Amino acid sequence: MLLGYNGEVVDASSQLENSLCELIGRESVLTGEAVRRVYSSDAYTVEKYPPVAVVLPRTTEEVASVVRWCTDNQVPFTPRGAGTGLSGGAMPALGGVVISTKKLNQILDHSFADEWLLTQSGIANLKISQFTQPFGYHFAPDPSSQSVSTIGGNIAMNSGGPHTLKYGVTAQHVLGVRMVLASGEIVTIGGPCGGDEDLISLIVGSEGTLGLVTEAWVRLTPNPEEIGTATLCFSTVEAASQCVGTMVRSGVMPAALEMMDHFVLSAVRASFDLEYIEGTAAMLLVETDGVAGQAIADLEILLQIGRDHGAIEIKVAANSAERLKLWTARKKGVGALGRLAPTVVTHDGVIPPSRLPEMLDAVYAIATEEGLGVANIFHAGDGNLHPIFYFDERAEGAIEAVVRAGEKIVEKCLEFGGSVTGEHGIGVEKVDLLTRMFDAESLEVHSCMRLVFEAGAECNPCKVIPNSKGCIEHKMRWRGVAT
Amino acid sequence: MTSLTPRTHDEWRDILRGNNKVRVCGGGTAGVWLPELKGTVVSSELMNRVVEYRPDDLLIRVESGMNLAEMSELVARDGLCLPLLRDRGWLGYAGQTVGGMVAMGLPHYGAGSVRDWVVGMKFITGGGAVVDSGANVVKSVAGFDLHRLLVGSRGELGAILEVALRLYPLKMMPEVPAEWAMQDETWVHRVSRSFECAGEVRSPNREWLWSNRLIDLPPQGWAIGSGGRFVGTRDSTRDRLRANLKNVLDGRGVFGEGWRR
Repeated sequence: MLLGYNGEVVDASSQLENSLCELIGRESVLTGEAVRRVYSSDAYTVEKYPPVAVVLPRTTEEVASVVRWCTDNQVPFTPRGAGTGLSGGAMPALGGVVISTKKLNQILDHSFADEWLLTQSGIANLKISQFTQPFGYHFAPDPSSQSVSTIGGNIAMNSGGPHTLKYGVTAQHVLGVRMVLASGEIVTIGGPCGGDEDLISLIVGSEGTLGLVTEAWVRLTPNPEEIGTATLCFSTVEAASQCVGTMVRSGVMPAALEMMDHFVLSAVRASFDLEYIEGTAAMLLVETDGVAGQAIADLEILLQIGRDHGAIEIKVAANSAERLKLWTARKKGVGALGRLAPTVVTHDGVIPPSRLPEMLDAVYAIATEEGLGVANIFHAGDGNLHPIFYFDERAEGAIEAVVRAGEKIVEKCLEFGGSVTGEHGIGVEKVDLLTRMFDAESLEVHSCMRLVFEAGAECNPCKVIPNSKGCIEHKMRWRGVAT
Repeated sequence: MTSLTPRTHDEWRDILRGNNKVRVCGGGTAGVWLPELKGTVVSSELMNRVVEYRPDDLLIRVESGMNLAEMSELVARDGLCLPLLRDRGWLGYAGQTVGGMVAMGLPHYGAGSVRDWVVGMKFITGGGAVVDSGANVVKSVAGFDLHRLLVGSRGELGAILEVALRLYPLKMMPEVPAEWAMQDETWVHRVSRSFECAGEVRSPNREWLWSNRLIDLPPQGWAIGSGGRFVGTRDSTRDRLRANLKNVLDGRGVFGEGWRR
């Protein structure tokens, strides 16, 4: 017996599972205790709830048939890519069916001359760049999870990444989508030449609440002629963050400007053999790119700023192998934190970069108040913080402390004139916090976007917009119920 | 023609309540693109303040009636620019307002679209709701991107009250080829030319920014293909979604409807 829509008990094996099997074949339907447990959350593990079943469609038409069936039968459905989301966007908040895009993984068409590529939405972000690299192109948004996170997930969350400082987030790189509306209708919006930018603006970042994107035309970005990459070590976090401020207003636009504090560095050193001078409290990872000659000249300007701010060690990557090593350490840095504690929760908030020194002071103080460990590894150039709390979730009160600390950080971001989320999304994690950023009148209009796309209560419920009654009633079940 | 010149949200609400049709007007430079709209003209001319300017964070927030050239001069003093306006601007036509530029969302060369530089907005719906979207930072994914939606909406979904823009270092801007700096041409001619050569349009230095194409030309929903032709097809589902959108943001039709073919 399983809990289904609105918490009523349903007999999944006889009803729902059979119906799904009839629709898309038994081999594309997953059920059972292990499946339910695995799919009960994404990478935001604080809130969990099990689906009744998981489906793995291979085509847009299969997705449409499942969505139509779910809507007709009032069964909630939740789209899911690789499950790397950090705000619970792919958590099946009211149970029902998880529609995984993992088998929608084919590149369908491309034109290098016109700089676009059409792909199914379940392909890993990095696969696109691996495919286009030999031809001189790449897909610019590069979230740290890019080796597994899917383009569909990136579109849902409007994902960022280190290089979005210069090249823009996912929204700037999506030309069109083919999507399934909640009614089961298939609609093409935009295309290889763009178009429909009004509707695309709503779809990118909608977290799967307006429908399910199954195919996407993405913009390809020409590879730069020259890249300069360097690390700068500082003996205090304050010196590093002040250096970031000076770099941002220097007139040079870095391709990426990242910061790692010594808690992250100690884990990264152990995992990836990243060497740095003793006494380092924070490291900046800086990259410039552009036409030949320019990138290196720009990098030198930034390195001089680093020297002026008292950098105790500066290393420039001598070749692409060294550059790759640095980026591997940066992008896998969160994973390396598993060495410090059994559970990590990554937070996300944005502040104006000029407030970085005060904000980092506040982050460390909040962690101390709540008795948590915190490490910082983040996109310093655009003020996008990622404080990572590491703890043991089995310890009494630990989850509550993490949630409280997260809320305090968000309050601080808003106090400094920032945002509650820069790239991880609202999901279920920040639904309630949205009311601190927008007034009721604004949120009412935001919530109407679901009506525009005719997305009913079944379509990824309880995400993005402050909770409806059903979600509030259900919310207490999300913590610890999935076992 | 006389026009109303609201300053406050309450004045805007009163105007929307008291009129069946209004036509929002910035600098009045885009007339040729718009169909002859009936209704009371509401001008943004008194809404011309800088709301917030933080050069260190590459961000400015202005009221919609802010003169584009004045804003450019202001930020240039700090070595910054809105990269759409290089060379006195493809869109830097005398008298043009920030709100007008955003509402029209017309094409330009080189630096993405207007949409890519708008990070936040305050607008008022036909029903008088004052709506915030985005933030005053360069990166935010909170709520739906209504600020991007309103770009290119030609004043038909709502009246733009404030716009937050991301700025860019002037120093990083590539040189614009001399033949592109058609200073004497009117803005309309420039846009017309961009239609003709759309197939060959590339930014002067592609790798430095993310976009190299024209976007967002009328009619909404269509794109420019090679040879400068519109490509796209009518689609009843998309039309229905757009009708829903109009209904949600301006159910009374106070902002009119005309340019969507």
